[in-house]
Amino acid sequence: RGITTWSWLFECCSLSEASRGEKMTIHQFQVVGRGIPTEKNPNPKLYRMKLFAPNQVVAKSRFWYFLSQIHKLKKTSGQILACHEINEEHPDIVKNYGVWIKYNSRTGTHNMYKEYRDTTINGAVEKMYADMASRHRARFSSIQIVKAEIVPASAVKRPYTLQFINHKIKFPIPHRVQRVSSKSLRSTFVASRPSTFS
Amino acid sequence: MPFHRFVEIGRVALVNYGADTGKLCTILDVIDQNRVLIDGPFPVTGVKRQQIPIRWLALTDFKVHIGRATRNKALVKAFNGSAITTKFAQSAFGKKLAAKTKRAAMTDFDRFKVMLAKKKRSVLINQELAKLKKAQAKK
Repeated sequence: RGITTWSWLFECCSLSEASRGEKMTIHQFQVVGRGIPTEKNPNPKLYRMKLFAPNQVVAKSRFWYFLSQIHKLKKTSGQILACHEINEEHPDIVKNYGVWIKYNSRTGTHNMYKEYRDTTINGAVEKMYADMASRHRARFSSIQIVKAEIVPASAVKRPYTLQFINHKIKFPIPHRVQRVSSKSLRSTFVASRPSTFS
Repeated sequence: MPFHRFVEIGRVALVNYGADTGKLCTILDVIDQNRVLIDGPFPVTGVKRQQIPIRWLALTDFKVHIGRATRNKALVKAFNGSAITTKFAQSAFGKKLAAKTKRAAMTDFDRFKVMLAKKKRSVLINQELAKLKKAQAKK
């Protein structure tokens, strides 16, 4: 075709303009499944999982991944009865989320407890995945969320989260870099140094 | 050099970036080092309740007396009670902002009127300057 292998690879991997460099948006799903009813077992047990996944397809896939680890059940021998998204009850207040995870590092598997402040549980879990990726190079597939729930302010452990639990919180912006509201207003050169005092 | 404007609950800020650029908002809660929860309040300023990075805000001198994450009704009452919209419009920041938007919306006829007004002003200035020069020359 007259193009190099690298440019062909780039074309294959390139994302659309809008999605390039964007974080994966996580949603919470409730997936209910069971084994396919047979003559021996006409009413198989129902299993329900609450999962975090980017979409329903991945949610269903992860459901089978976890189910087959725990029970003698897999996608070919089972059926998914429901896969609904769980929406945030109170997305307009800030909450402290604790996330208990189990993740595979290059040399072993470890448990972790991490805390995030956010308005929604989806946001907190997104932060967790981004945090794990940056700090431990752990990918989505290597992380299992054991539990993700709201932690009351009295039970918060991490100093970073604790410092924001203060109804009289107050801090200045010591070095404010003003952001231009649109690219057309941005200037490459200015006559004098901008002031960073806020 | 002491700081006068703080990121705190009740601080009124101007949104500098994003869809709500140029609108006032109130900080309801601090999420993080970089993010805060804001609300217009929506019926007053048109900014919905949302998370926003602090980088997208410009803090003003005004503060509304509210508790952490106040509901809409109480927030509107406190916001209007402190007459923030009028106070901001009268402040130096508000006036500069109004002048900027006016200038950006000028038509060619407006620019012509400005040109004539500038000419008139410079005539008056030069007259005064000539008087002062004359007085100086006499000394």
